[in-house]
This record gives sequence, C-alpha cells and structure tokens, in this order.
Amino acid sequence: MIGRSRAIALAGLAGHVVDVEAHLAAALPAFTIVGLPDASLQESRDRVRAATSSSGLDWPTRRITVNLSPASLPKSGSATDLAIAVAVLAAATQVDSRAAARSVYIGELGLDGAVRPVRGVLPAVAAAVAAGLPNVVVSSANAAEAALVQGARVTGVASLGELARLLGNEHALLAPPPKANVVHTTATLPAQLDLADVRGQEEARRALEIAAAGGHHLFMVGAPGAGKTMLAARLPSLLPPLDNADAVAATSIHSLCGSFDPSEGLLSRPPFEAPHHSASAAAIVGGGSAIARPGAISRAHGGVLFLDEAPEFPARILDTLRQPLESGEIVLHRAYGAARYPSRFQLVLAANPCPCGNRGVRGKACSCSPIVARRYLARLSGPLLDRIDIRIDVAPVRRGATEGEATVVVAERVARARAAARERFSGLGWSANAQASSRWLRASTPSTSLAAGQAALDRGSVSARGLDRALRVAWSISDLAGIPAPTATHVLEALSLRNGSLT
Amino acid sequence: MAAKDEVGRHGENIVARRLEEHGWEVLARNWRCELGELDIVAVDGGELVAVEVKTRRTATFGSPQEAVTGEKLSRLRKLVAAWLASQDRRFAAIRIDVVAVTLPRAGAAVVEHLRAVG
Repeated sequence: MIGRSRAIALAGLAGHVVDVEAHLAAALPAFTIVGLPDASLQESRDRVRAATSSSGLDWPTRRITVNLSPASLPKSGSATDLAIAVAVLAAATQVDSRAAARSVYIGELGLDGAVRPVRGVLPAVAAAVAAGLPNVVVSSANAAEAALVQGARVTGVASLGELARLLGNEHALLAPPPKANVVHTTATLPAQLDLADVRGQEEARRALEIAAAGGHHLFMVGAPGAGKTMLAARLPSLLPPLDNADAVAATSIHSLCGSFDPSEGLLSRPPFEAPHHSASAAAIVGGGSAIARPGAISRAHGGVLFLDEAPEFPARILDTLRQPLESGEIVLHRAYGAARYPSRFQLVLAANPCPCGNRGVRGKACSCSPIVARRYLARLSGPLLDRIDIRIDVAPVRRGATEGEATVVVAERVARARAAARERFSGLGWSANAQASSRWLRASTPSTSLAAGQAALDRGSVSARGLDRALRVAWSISDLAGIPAPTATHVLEALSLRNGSLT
Repeated sequence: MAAKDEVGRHGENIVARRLEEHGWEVLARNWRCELGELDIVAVDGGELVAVEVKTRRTATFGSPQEAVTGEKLSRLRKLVAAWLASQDRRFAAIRIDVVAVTLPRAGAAVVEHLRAVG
C-alpha cells in the first residue's frame, strides 16, 4: 500500500517539487524517512505521529517508510510535515489517496494536530505553480501569502483533522487553531519619511534627487549630526514603486526571512536596509550552513542598502559587495548546494571625514593626526568607490536653514525622469542611467556637452572612468530637467558631484 | 498466577491452535533456558519458526507488536540458537515470527501474524 503527496524543497529562492511516498509493510512497527532528510526533517517523524493521534486518526502499526523523491536533493525543515502526514494517511486508507495525490502540501504540524505557518511560502507556492501543480494546501495563517501567487488554488487549513475531513475522512477531530503566527523579525519598511523634514542641505537634497532619478550609488561624507542618515532614510520614498518582477523577488526574500506581512500584499515600496558596521559577512551578503539564507543585500533588493559609518565596516565585508553590485545577484555555495538570491540595490555610503568627525568642520578642532585622518577614508577600497557615481560633502546645518520641498514633489520629478530613461533604454535592456554603457554614453551625449567633460579629462581632474560616471549622472540631471539630452552645464554639475573629500 | 500471565497464556493457546490449524507442526511451547523463554517453536513447511506471542487487552500502552524491540529480537535469535543446539533435527531455514493478539472486552480475539521480522 503506497500513499502519495507532494511537498516543496526550497534551495534559496528556487523551489523543487518533492514527491512524497509512504509505504506500509506488515512488519514490526517502525517509521523511517529516506531521501536525504536532514536532522530537522528527521524530527518531523515525532510531530507527524503525535499530530495524527491528536487528530483522532489511527497511526498504522506497520513498518512505515517515507521516501522523499528525488532522493538526491537535500531536504530540510519542518515544512514537509504536512505532506508526510498526508502520504501516511493515504497509505493507511484513512484519507482518499487519489484526492491526497492531487495537491502540494506546505506546513508544519504541532503535536495537537494544528497546522502551523512556515517561512518561504511565497517562493514555494510559486515553484509549485510553475511546475504545473496549482492546488496548494497551506496553513490558514499562510493562506493570504500563498494567494499572492498568480494561478495558485490555495486551501488554508488550521489543523490536520480539517485537512483529513477535506480528503474524505469524516471521523477526524479538529484541533484548536494555531496561535503562533509567522515570526516577523524586522519592520522592513520605515514609516513614510518626508524630505521636507530635512532643513537646509540644498546640495545634498539635489544629489539625493539625482541619485534617485538615475539609480546612482551615493557616498556622503560629513560631520556627525549633519543629517546623512536622515537623507539616506528618505531615499526609498523618492524611488518609484517596485515593478511586478522586482516586487515578487523582494517579497519572496522577505518571506524567507519571515520579515513581511502578507496582509498588505506584495511588497511594493522599495525596501531600506541599514546593517550596523558590526554585522558579519554572513549577515550582510547571506550565509548559514546547509543552504545559505539571504542577507541584508538581498533584503534590500529593489531598494536601498545604507552603510552608515562605512569605513568602520571591515574591508573584507565591503569587498563582498562588489560581485552583487556588478551582477545584481549573489550566489552562495554551502554544503547542501548553491543558493542564488537577487540583490540589486542602490548603495548609499556615509562616513565621517575622520575618526573624530570634526575635520574640516567650521568652529571645531579635529583631534586626529593627519595620517590617521587620511587612512580613515582610505579604508574604502578603490574597486568599491569606483562603482559609486555621486560623492558629496554634507556640511552641518546652519541656523535659519529653510524647509525644502516635500517628498511628493520630488518623487514626482524622479518618476518623470525614470520614465524618460526607461523609454530611451527600452531596446537596450537597461532601466536607469546608472546602467548605461560607456560606449553608449560617448556615442549619445551631444558633442558640445561631451567637450566640457573632455576638457576636465585633459586637465587631469577626472579619469576616463570617472568621466563615464559623470556622464551617467549628467543624463539623470537632464532627465530631471525634462530635456532630451544633457547640456554642458549638466556635465559640469555632474563633475562637481564627484568632488567630495575623495576623488 | 498473575492476571497478566494468564492473559499471555490465553493468547499463546489461541496462537498455537491457529498454527496447527494451518498445518504447522508445533515442536515446543514455553521452552526455557538460562537466556529466557521461547513461546512457541514450530515447523512451517521445512522452516523452523520461533514464534513470539504478544497479547494485550487494550492499546493503552501501545499495540502488542510495538512491544517487540530490537533488543528483544536479538535475544530471540540467541534463544533459537540455544534451542537448535539442544536437539538433533536440522532445518532448511530458520525465521522469527511475531504474532500480536488483542483481546477485546467482548468478541473474538484479533490476531495479526508478522512473518520473518528479524
């Protein structure tokens, strides 16, 4: 007698359909799970058995062998509990085996028979639907999240007994509904912050607006209290909402991390991640044993990664950002295989001008020796700074600074600039000016404007690569101004946005 | 005799009768040595079978067959060897069966025969 059901094994965001088979043999009672289960999955035997008894169903006194196929794929976690229970009940003819085989089951079982929510339901259900299995049974606490996947036919159940009844067993008992919800660890979206809160700082606000318009990475140097963090935290609200593909990818990441609230639907606002400089490499880029979990750079996918006190981050960790900055994703290899996570984020770095923070600030004395001060910013490696288009100094706010434009006004301009760039790049596969190639920039920038940049190149005040970056920024400036191509003035403004404390 | 021993005895009687009805030749019952006891030693075809009978009145403490643990099985193997050494007859094959007997408060006994468990 063989019972069948299906589960999903997640390796990173990629889900694989797992066929669960249960075989009952007339031999001394035993319960074994084969097919590369890890230790956490072996524990599911005890949960499944207890949940079955608590649901008023008979546990077969047979030798039960559960096989998870393909047997070569490593499997982990508690989300297969429900599929294993259904396969065993089907093998024991306690539920209708043909109905049982029709669905994919994703859920953890409690000893009382409750079906508990699990993390990563969104990518798991998406994988099931992509594999042509639209019937999905999840915990009722996960049903809203599962329903976000287009084409999924979701059934939410609160207990194993409820599921057994749906599958034709009239004697099953209903367990009390689960109390525990998915643990939401972090609030990923800051409360909507308004740019109008930032007083003065006209230059920095302008740089922020240009960065938002072109998707440019940004580096701010300034004394403590100058408002760098305030500015960075307001960048996500300037960015346009995520497009559909990015929304699904970002929501899947946050589903895996347990840091998303399904009642609001897919994440549509660009996320904001600000890891502390004491964070480990695994926390920033993702890590963990068996299968690596996503880190801050993936949680920032489609949004902003803000590294405050950037020179305080170990150089090793900052350098791990280079691959995702280049390719927009990260591949993490671990014992149980490689996990691939999207990580296309806009990088915002902030730094004090020196360890004490007073260097170059009017009315304050810097207590750092020149060599210490110089070494401080030099901790940021050349290859990383090479990828940053805009570098500005942020000076402390002076008395009498006026309130600036509100977020809605600026976001409106940014949205128009982004739309213009998207239209221009429609055949080229880029979505923002920051992605434009050097060849395209040299060919498409009007020659008079290009000449202004080349004069700077001849003077030696900018490198060839630096000029490319300035040209990208110049296109964002012209997009904001609503004109078709940058003028010489725009190129000069872009060049001035490279002349922070570091060049 | 304690009540539980009487229940066990009753179960063994039921099983022995059934085996003979199926044409098995029962060679010994409750054969003892210093290692322990074999409930039933019988011949099924040419095969020697050591039958362990487990009898329960309720399932409160688990099903009868669950009471046969790995440790118990290895003791049964040693017992079969000891029994074979004690007499001269030779057999084509040797196996151990477990027969689970559940005695409900009313109605007939439920017998489940598990073949070649160890």
